[in-house]
Amino acid sequence: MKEAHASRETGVRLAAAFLALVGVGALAAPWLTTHAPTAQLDPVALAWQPPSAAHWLGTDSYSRDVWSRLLFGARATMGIAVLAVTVSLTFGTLVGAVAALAPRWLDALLMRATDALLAIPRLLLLLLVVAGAGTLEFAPLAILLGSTGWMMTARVVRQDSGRLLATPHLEGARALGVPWARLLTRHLLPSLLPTLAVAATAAFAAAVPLESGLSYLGLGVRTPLPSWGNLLADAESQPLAHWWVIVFPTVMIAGTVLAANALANAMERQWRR
Amino acid sequence: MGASLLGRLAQGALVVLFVVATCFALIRLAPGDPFFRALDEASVPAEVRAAQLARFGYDRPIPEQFARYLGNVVRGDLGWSHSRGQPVAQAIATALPSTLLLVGTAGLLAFVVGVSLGAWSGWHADRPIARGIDRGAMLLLSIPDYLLALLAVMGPALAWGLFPVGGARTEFGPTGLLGLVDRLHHLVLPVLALALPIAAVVTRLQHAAMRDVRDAAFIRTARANGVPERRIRWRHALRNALVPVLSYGGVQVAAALSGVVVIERIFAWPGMGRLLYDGVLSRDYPLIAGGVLVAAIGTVLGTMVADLAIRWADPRQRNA
Repeated sequence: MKEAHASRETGVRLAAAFLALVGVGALAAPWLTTHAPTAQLDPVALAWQPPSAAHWLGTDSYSRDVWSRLLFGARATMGIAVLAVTVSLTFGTLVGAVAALAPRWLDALLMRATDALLAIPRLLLLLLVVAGAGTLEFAPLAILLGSTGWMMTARVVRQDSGRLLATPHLEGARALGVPWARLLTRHLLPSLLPTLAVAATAAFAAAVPLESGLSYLGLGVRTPLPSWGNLLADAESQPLAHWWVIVFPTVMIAGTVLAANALANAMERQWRR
Repeated sequence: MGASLLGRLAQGALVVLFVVATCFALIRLAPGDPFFRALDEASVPAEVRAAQLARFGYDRPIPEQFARYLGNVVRGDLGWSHSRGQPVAQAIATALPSTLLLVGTAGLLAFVVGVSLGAWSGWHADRPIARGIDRGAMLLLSIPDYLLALLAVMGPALAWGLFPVGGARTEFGPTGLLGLVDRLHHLVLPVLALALPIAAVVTRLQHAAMRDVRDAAFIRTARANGVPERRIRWRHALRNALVPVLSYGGVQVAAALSGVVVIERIFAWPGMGRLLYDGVLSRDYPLIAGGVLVAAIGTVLGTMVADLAIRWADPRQRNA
């Protein structure tokens, strides 16, 4: 049992280290790359170069450097995911916590509306909005992802707030007549932090595939700007001989999601038992 | 029970109405209209376009259009699909069976594999193999379904030629028994791409639930009463441990539809996902409304079935 615990610890450290590396790579992308991510160096002579000293991860069909596109793609994918999670977490927490504190009819109304929104397939909603907007810049895309993803957070927060409000600390604060805004910010939210950390990490793990999926479909970040999703779209239907254009984005997407999921699990084990 | 079922049906109907109304309004607020491909020419005068829009009532206020649409739906008329040149009902009637086949096979596979793997590995949670299964599921659920589909197309389909690249059957292909084999052959990759991530989540949920229930007091009591071990495992433990998986299944119905849109596009599968995707891109208002209506009804029914199953598995929730 102890052995399992130790290997679990290592796994969590690896996950955190991977996410940190991706984060640093995304932030420092201009200093870690030698080519611009959209530069077509020589579409005739330099297309489909396998990984080499000059191009660490090879080049794609337009002779663009895959390493640069991967790092700048991390900027797009990670940036959009983080912003989307911020939006969905803020809104979801607000709805869930207010519902828990509100009178019964408002609570029921808010939570039934949340359930109804959960019944709309998220991708369809995104398709409809993206169709309307045409091309979306980074920030609107992130806000769109966040505003369609807050419902699960709201449900978890509502559930946990209900449990917390029954604890002596919060019951006492309520009995002493603490105004509800102060009750929310000073008493309920701090107690919710572990729940929120888990929810945020899980939402991040869901936002990365969603953004990359949309970009893969050509509805998110559009080429020539790189995102992990449209790197895959560029690699689509290539012969396996050009393995470097497909393997690296695949590893990045799956690795990031796996690491985030592992972290969320570890936090859940740590705090919510 | 009867009254609560009626209440649930009414609630479900409200959800369907809400979903259809949202999508109905959103697509009309989007730029463009069903005729943008045909009439976006400098040579087409504005009056012709206005007349065409008026012919289908698209110049009216959205609430009025929605009221008319509802009236037509109640009379069984889903309208005319501009992009496909056929009645929407007919387009849905050809697309729905393909999707039901795809989703049904994938869902069944995901739950059978996930529940059995998860139940076994959760019951024997201390064995290295069981931990390996749990880890493997964790890895698998981190690969998005579109990525699995993409890899499946590139490797087994394109490079190795083991499976067809897309479609639901070979055009002008064999009929009879060989035709059935041909259809199954086309079904393999899309079903796997759709089912594997779901199976991975189900495995992990079932694993955790079974591991927790293993040490529960009622299991010990049953054992002390001399209930045979097999019966304890399958009747007492598994039934109890199914609850989280079933409630996940209820939430998953809507999410699965998102997956269907992507998978059907990648594999050129002629189903509801493609119908909705094409409908949105060509601004085919009636086609979108009809597709969303069917999808919403399916989602609500799926959630209700999951709820009923939870009540079966956990009698405490029958009065809730």
